Amino acid sequence: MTAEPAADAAASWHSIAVWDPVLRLLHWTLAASFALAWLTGEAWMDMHEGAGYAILAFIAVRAVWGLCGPRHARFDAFVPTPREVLAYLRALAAGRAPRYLGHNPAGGAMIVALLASLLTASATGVLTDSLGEPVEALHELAANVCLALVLVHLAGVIGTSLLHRENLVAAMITGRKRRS
Amino acid sequence: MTRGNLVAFALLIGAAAVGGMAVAAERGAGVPLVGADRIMADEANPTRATEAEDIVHGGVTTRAVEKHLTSQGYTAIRDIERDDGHYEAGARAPGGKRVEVYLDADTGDILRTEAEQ
Repeated sequence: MTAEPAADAAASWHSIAVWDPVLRLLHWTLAASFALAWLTGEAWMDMHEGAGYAILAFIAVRAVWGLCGPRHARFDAFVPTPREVLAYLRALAAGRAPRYLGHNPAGGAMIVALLASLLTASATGVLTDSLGEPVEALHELAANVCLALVLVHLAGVIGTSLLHRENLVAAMITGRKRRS
Repeated sequence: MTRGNLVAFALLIGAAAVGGMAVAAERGAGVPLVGADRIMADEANPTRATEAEDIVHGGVTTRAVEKHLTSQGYTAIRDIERDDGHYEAGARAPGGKRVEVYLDADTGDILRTEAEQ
């Protein structure tokens, strides 16, 4: 027990808590729900719908957390203007994108894009049940857009991690990042 | 309002709207799921079909109709429509012929099939 405060102090000297526990839980449960929804789409309708409702609930909770959560969880802290996103992407392409403690502009734009496309997938999914095939095509399109965004998101996380020599996946698990 | 809060509010309202839509659908406004449950129970145990009689205005989702027809050997099911107490759908009959199938919306029974023109 006595060793713990010291270890904590050492950890907090080098790193800083950025992602709060609620945000991390939302992130990973949302990721798991999307994976589940994707895998059960053609095969296991009850589970697919359950995963869809879970995604819907996570979007709502994330939005509330984005309004009143801690600093780095707030949408105000990371929703960028298109100009900011372009400037960041240009810098990224040149290999000299600045490091952000919170979300960088491309990451912030990705969050909005992912949540919006997941919401669209949920809406078209619910409507597929009552309206059938025409909406089902839209639902599949929305789901494919979500998957494409997830892949770009992963590429962004890996690319930015390499660029700044830090493990952003670990940061989303522990919540801590290097100070500078 | 700030840009970030605007986006958060939009997502929240969108999620609430979709949630409301789902609840309305589950409650039977246009999508009576009780019918879908029943039709699946009938598939599992055809002798229980009479239990359905106390539900007068049953209906089923298009997905349930599709499942039901699939279980009867129909394939390539499309254009499921509800019309005046029955469902109709285009499908390929077990023999491979293209047909229009008519189902009782309350019981899921196949009323008749017609060769497609």
